[in-house]
Amino acid sequence: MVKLTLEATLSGHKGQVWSVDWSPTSKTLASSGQDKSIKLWRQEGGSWVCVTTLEGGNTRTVRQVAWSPCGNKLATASFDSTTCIWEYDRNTSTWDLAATLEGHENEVKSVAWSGDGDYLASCSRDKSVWVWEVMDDDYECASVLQVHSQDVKKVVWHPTDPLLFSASYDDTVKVYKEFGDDWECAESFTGHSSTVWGLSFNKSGDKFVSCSDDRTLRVWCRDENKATKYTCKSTVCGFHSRPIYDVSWGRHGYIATAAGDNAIRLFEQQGASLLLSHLQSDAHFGDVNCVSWKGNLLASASDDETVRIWTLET
Amino acid sequence: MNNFSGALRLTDLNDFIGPSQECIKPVPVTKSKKRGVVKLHDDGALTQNSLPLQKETISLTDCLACSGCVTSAETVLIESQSIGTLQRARVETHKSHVFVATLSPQSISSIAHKLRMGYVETCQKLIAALKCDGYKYVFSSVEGSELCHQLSAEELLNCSREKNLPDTNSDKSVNTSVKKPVLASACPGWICYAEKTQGAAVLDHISRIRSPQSIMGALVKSVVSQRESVPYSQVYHVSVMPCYDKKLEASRADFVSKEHDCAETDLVLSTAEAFDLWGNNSTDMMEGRNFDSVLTDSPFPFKTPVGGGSGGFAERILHHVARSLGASGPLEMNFKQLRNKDLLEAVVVINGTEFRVAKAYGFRNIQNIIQKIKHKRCNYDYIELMACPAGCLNGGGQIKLEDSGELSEVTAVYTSVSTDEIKNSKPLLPDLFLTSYKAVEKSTSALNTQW
Ligand code: SF4
Repeated sequence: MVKLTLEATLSGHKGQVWSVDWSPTSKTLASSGQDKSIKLWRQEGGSWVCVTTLEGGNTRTVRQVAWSPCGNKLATASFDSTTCIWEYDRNTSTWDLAATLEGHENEVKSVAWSGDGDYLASCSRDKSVWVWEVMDDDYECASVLQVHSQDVKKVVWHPTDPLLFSASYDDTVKVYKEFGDDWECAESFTGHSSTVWGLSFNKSGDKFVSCSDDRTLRVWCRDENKATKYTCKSTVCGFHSRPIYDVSWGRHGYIATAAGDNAIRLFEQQGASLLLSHLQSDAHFGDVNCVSWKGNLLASASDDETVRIWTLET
Repeated sequence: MNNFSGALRLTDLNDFIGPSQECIKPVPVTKSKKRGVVKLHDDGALTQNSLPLQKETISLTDCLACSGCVTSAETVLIESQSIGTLQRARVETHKSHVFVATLSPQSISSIAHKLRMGYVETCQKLIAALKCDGYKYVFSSVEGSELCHQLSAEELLNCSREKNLPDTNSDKSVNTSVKKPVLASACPGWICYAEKTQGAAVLDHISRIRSPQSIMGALVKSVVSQRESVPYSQVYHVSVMPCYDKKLEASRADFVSKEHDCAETDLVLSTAEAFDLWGNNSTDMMEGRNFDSVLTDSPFPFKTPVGGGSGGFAERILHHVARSLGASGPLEMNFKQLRNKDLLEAVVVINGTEFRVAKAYGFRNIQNIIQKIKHKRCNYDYIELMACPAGCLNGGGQIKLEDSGELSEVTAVYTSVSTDEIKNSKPLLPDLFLTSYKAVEKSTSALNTQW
């Protein structure tokens, strides 16, 4: 029996919580939301507590928070049209605002670090995807990609290759690769009939699953001959009655979805398709906006102003 | 509108204040003296005192001063500067008006490449086609570039006071309040982007010297009206440029003659549009054709300025700076590539004084330069900033190329006639060639936020 056990409910944010992300190097969880702050949570003496609140960076909703691969930096995507970079100072044990990246015309929706930490990607309602090159403390714009015809909701890096993926209100997913000293769109994936909210890769990166406002998940498999080409092998419908806002493919193989019906669902891969292995109804008292795995721990963020931590039991 | 440069497109991108939103500008209504009775007819038509009501239109100039919705501005723009509009104007006014044209060297190079012809031949072919078509004068915008370079050099010298330069005569003529690093003003894609998204911190750095196109605009109609003894407003000036962004530039309120209440440049055609009109005309009567000159009575040479396909601003301006400072001989400028092929810098020492210049093309490089300026970490004297990756020969209005390798062939056409010795007499009134920029206020329409 696959199930989720509620480990903790973390309150502290005022207003919707939009995003949660686990540190790659420690059991620290970062969360962000409407109240413009970023909170870091850790288990201390058996209970989960907020150890730090970062404020004064972004001036509007922080839509997404993302850890750098080294675990010493956080990037935040905000509706104030900027991306803030926070850095951990070992000497003072404090987090400092290291940079504010400007350039997007309006709301930044998502931000992601490449696996090697050399690049940062951001996307916005202005329909563009930006690639920033990380050079010590400097962030230089390496490319501005204007291929989507609508609001871009999410950017995600391939887990092993230097490939960037973006999901949009224009119902497509696009992939970008380096081209000379610039970046270019290599492929566009169509299939969803409404906004694609997110996507998540399996460990090796030969598959990803995308989630959409059209209430379906799609599983995409990599073409053997072309690294940038993925083909939709199955459409998972009938399980979600409301939009699916986020999806996270855990290392153990379980795929979690965050949906507009307050529920979290877990899926397992079966052949090219997915099998529902657990439905956590009423996981929150509002829309679930984001889910993130770390080992057997799953964090979820919701409109009900809380973050919840769950343990996977199989 | 993929014809516009990327920088311009970004500012237009606004899905929720998009096409569906109505124009927020109040339409100026010309009041009629008599109180009218407006009647709604069964077919939905409106009449006033039984005459059809005139539909009020918003001009592009209105749109440019507003950031409410750029979409309608684009529509107005495309409509007002189309081949159709030009042909209508030809039919309606060819008896009363003197038609003249200015051709950009980037457009000529693109057409030359398409026709597999040399630069000079292509010029002659286009001049012949235009003259046959009834155009009385055909100018080269290089003549405007040259003036632009000279004036920009004076402007640059003037804001380089900290360098303790010897006082040169020209110092007094062009005194603008521009700050260093001085950014080129020739690219309307960049200018519109800066005005729509940046404040004084960036706008204060943009050269106040007009672009080559609008320098030509400042001269052409007055010169032709004198030579032909026709009123200013009866000269129709068409300009052929490598991008749609130049159509926007020509529509700026600054480039409408206040005195004559008439646009200095009536219509801008993209290279591809001009090719459709004149590119396929027969090649007879090319012999002996020459560019007319606005400043002199002798023909203007078939030349392009050295310094690459974006107009050679960095090279030519520094060349004139060197001349003003009394340096003789050719100016050695070795540009070295920085982080990408569209970002280059050079350091030149003129009589012991160091000048640092850069060329930055494409939106990403514009971004990085803007950030450096904002953080006061940009120590160049002058930057040739252009919105299109690879610069103007790659403008959105150029004839489409099969593959990117062809761009170097177009560049080769352009540089085959490049020179650093284009003679020009100095115009008497530099003020005529200045312009200004102002930030467009953002309309804070926080319409339904979308997550
Ligand atoms: S770079 Fe040149 S071609 Fe491109 S928009 Fe600017 S002026 Fe036009």
